[in-house]
This record gives sequence, C-alpha cells and structure tokens, in this order.
Amino acid sequence: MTGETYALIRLLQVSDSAFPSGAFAFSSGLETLVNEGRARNAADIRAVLTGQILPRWASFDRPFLQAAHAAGGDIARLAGIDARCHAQNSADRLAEAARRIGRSLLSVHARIGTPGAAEYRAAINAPRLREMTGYEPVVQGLVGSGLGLSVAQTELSGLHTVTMGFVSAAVRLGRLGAIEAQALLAAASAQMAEILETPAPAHPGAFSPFAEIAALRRNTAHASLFAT
Amino acid sequence: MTRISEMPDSPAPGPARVGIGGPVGSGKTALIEALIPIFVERGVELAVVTNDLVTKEDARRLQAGGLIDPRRVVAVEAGACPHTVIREDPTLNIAAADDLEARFPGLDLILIESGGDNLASTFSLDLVDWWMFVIDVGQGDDIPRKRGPGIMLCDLLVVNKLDLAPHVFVDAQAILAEAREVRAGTPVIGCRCKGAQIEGVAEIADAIMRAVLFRQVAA
Repeated sequence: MTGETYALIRLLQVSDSAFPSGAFAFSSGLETLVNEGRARNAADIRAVLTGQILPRWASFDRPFLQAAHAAGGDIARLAGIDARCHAQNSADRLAEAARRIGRSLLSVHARIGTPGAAEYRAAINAPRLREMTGYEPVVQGLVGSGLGLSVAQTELSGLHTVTMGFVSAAVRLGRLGAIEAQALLAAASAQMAEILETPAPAHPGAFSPFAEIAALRRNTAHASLFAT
Repeated sequence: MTRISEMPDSPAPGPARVGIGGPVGSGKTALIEALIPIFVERGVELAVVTNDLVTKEDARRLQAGGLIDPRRVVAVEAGACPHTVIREDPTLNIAAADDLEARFPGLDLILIESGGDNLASTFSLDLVDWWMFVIDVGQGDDIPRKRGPGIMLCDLLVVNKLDLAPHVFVDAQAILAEAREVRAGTPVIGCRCKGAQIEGVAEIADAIMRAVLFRQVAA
C-alpha cells in the first residue's frame, strides 16, 4: 500500500455523500429561489450553481480551508482562522449553516478518530464559542491535514461536497431530475477544475448576492424542507 | 473489531435517547403529549427533539401545550429526508440532543420524534439507545403483516388509536395478535392517547423506564 493510495481511499470516504455531516438539510438559499419561482428548471439551477455557489466557495470558503490545512492541527491557529471566518461571514443564515455542518463533521471525525478532530472539538465546545467557531471550511482543512491529504485533495473534497449538496437539494426540491443532475455536474466540471487550478485569492471575500439574500429572506413562518 | 462505543471521544453517559418513529398521522406527537405528564409525575427530567418534514408544527404544538418548558423542545429540519436525518446521517439530531444535554444538565431522557415516514423507517443506534415505532389501526389491519423494517426492528411496536377500530371496520385485537406473531414475541403495546379513556400509555412509559432508565417499575 502506498501513502498516495491510502490518501485517495480516505479522500473518497470523506467526500462521499454518505459521509454524515448534516449537509443534506441545507440548500444554500435554493429553496427560497424555488418557492419564489426564481429557480424553475435545470437551466436556472445551473445558473445558480455556476454563478453563485461555485464562485462563493472559490473566493470565500477556499482561502479559509487552505489556511486551516496549513495550520496542521495547531488549535490556536485554527481558532484564529475560525474567528476570521466568523467576522467575515455577513450572511448569518449561511454562517449558521456552515457552523452546523462544520460542527457535525467535526463530531463525526472525532468519533472515528481522525487526528486532531477530538482536540479541536474540545477546544471549541465552550458555550461562548458555539456561535462563532466550527465553520465548515475550517473543519475540512483540519480534517484533510489530519488524514494526510494534500491541500489540493482537501480543496477538491470541499468543492465536491458543496456542489453535491446543492445539486442534491435541487433534486429533492423537484426542479432537477436525477439524470439531469448528472448532466449538470458534468457541465460544471470544467469550471470546478478551473477554480481548483487557479490560485486562491489572498484575502477571502464573497459576492453572491442572489443566493445570499435568498438565504436571508427565507421565511421561517412558512413550510420549508431545508434549514437554508 | 473495534466497536463504536470503544472508539475515541465516545460521549460520556448522559440522558437516555429514545426514538419515536412511524408513519404520518399515526399519533407520534400525541403519544409524546400523553407520555410527558407521566414522566413528570415520576420525576423524569425530559426534553424532546422533533423532526417535522416541512414545518416546525410538532415542536410548536409541544411548546405551546403547556406540558413542558418550551426551551426543552427543539426542531430539526429534515431536508426532505425523514429517513436520512434519523438513520444515514443523524448528525443534526445528535447535535440537537447534545445541545439540550449541555443546556439542561439534569436531563434523564431525550425523546427524538422522527418525521412522518413509511414502514421502512428505522433509527440509527448512533442516535438513540432504544426506539419504538407507532402505527395505528386506521391505517388498515394489514399493516403488521406488511412487516417492513420499522415494524420488525423496533424495540417496541405501538399500535395506536385502538378506539377507532370499530369505525374503520377492523379488529384491534386481531391487529395486536398479528403484530405479536410477526414480531416473534418482541414487545407490542396497544394504546389510545386521547379522549376520556387513555389506555396503554403508562405501559409504554414503564417499558422506557425499564429499558433505558433502569428504574424499577411495578409489574
């Protein structure tokens, strides 16, 4: 067994939609867009994915993921990255979603013994930290480092996860067929590759107002399938 | 083989977590409403997690009912996947239960109500220590023999709304007998949770207390 093969097997495991993280309960604002008639079909879903979801991950989540990977399990550095992610996350519903997913992910990795996960989970478990730490890209970076994945592999996993989560939500919202979803993923692959092959921005920032405002506009008084 | 319970970071023993699953409208929330006063009377500190499919109706109903401190009831969105949130990926429910446990350190019991589902619904034992499945006589007298993982694998099968049997032209006792037969002797309790004549609910509370709270209950 080579280290590279082992890393690939772990990469597939943690990137699989069967890996529990709670991400299936979030739609990144898509449910509101569907309910308001702004996302009606596969073309609309593709436009949101390629124009909002992927760019937001590339410019916002990715730099935090990279920094967390580079922290190599250093809890103080990770907490600092989490604090910056919290400060810069201007869409509170998306921030809460990222924390809930990140904390779920961290909990699962702590239970299965991924190096560094239990230590960081214990460090951010204090009540005063629960609303400001445990962001998904930070946890993904920590986990990738702990599993011995390269930063490129960890980024690939992070981008795959957010893309699959969004497309899966679109299927369950009835605006995308299961086979259409695979065609959409194939069509989005080139953009995903381009994102991963382009250096990440030095400073995180996001501009995806269509999806962000939709997530903020979600009306909790009405019926909803998803938490965002 | 390493068991999950022996893996690093296994949670310390805390309140028992009991799942309540079953089809839409079978009376899961009504059963919880009937169980709460019994547990309160018996001094059991209780909290509830609900998993509505689309709304937070069940959580709001329990919060507004005056039976339990509303802060002890939380809702988890099921993302259109009532199976997933209790079985394949129960992490959001685990997080909700962990949060209740942290906010109310004296808890003895957390009831986790699934969203209305079908007969294939089962709970992950990562999430609960013990679970029951609620069907009702109004769904038809063939439900037990349709088996399904929910009916066959639960720790306790509850057959609810016994009083409705004559009105939907089924024999409640025959349903209970068939349920006991298909479950090969594993527990089945018939009940009615509403109305002037409550039946079977205290026995369900007894079963929970024996199974997961390890308390002596009179036979």
